[in-house]
Amino acid sequence: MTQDQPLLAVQEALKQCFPVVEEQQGLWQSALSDCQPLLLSLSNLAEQLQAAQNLRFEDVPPLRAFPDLKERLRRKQLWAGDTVLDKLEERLTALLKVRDTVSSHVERVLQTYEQHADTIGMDGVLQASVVSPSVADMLEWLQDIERHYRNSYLKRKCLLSSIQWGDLANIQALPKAWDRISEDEHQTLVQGFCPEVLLPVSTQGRSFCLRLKHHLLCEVCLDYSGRVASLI
Amino acid sequence: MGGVLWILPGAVEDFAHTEGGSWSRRIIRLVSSESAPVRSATEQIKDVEGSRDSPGWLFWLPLSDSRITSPCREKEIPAYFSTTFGPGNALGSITPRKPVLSVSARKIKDNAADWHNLILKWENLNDTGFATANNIANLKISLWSEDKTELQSSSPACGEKAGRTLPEYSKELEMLCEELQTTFNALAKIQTKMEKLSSTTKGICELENYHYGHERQRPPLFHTWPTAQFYEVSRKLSDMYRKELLLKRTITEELAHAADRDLTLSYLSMWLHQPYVETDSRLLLESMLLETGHRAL
Repeated sequence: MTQDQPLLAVQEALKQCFPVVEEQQGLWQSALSDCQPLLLSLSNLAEQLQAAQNLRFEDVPPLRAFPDLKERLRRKQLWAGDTVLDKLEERLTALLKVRDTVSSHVERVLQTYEQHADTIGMDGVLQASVVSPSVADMLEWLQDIERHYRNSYLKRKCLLSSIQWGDLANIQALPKAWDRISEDEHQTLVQGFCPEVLLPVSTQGRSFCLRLKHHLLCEVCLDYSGRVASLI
Repeated sequence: MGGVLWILPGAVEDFAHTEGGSWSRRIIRLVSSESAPVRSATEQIKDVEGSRDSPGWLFWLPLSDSRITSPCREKEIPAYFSTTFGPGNALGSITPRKPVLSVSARKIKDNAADWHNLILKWENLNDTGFATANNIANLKISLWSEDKTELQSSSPACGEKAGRTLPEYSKELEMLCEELQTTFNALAKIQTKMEKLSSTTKGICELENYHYGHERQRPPLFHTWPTAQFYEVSRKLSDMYRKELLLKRTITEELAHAADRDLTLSYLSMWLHQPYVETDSRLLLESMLLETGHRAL
């Protein structure tokens, strides 16, 4: 059925995109979870720096034998802090890579859709069935996913860019601020997204399931089986 | 040919350890039991290398051979030439397959390995000590907050619910302090060994100075470092850890008596971050390991 070819092409592009998104979601989660202990380390270091700043070393008799101690301690603490910051930078780079990979794949799907949009027509794009959501819905989800990563990355980058050793209180508050970003994202997603949908789409008999965590995105389960082949 | 040629091993000049075994390098004297000249293999060597008194009379001999300490027949000991004579000598004797280190170089190389091991042990003890110090600090902080709770509330029931009693705290604190002292004692032992390494290296430098006198051109023991550089590095490391130990002694003695939270946290931080162990200490150690061949170039 040659008039279905354009629609099939778009569906094929979608089929190829969702597994990539699933993989990138795993990498995103992994990078995020690596950040928590690093932020806690920074927060602890800030607490130590603050304590040493508050202390008058010259008023502590046992420490008078170490006249250069205050400066040396601070130097070592900052050096440890810079080491943690380098590691955070690496994780941020990993998040950026996820953002860019998802963006480029979603871009490709949209381009494929735009090529065939006129041929498919509005009816074809909006047509949904019990076994498959519409192309329009799937495209919208992909765009939402892409926007989510873009916004999330920006917020986290902005937070980490605010780190300054001159503002120890801010650094001590970092772990909570980081968690707040995730909590806000969860709220937005729960309110804005559709509930769980089963989308069986055929791909040479191979079964594929994409499950994106509910607290980040809605649960979208794509079960590739032979069922849709008979529908198309 | 008459008479028997005797090899009399002299003082040991050097030791070497190769795949083939252990060797001593020493001057040997050749003594003939007959007045007539003896054209033995060793006599041939003598002809090639010059007079008996020349440095050419240094040979590698098997260390494990118990006969080495007493005069023995030349034929009974396989004598191996020093590598300086090369494979093309008169007897075509076997030279050691690998370049062997001199005694000094071997000692310096072993010292470098010892430095690495000692610093590793120090770091492990530092971590153990920090865990104990952290427990002491947490105990003190919880004691302070319980005192505060009791002060704020006049209810006796609140005091009962406050957890452990003061004697229980004291006992636990005492136990933790003893633990910290034990760790400190182990650190002190390591620092003593570090001083010894430094002192040995100094000895090797002095030996070299004695050997070369005022001569400035001295071949490096390994790649590029003059021997004095090994002592400089040893000295620097030794000093760092000596100063750090002094600080750790103070922390061990004072942590449990710290009057406030800032001081307690600062003592913890000092223990953890080791302000007197400079950030370039790792670089110094690694460069020494590289120079001595413990790390691949």
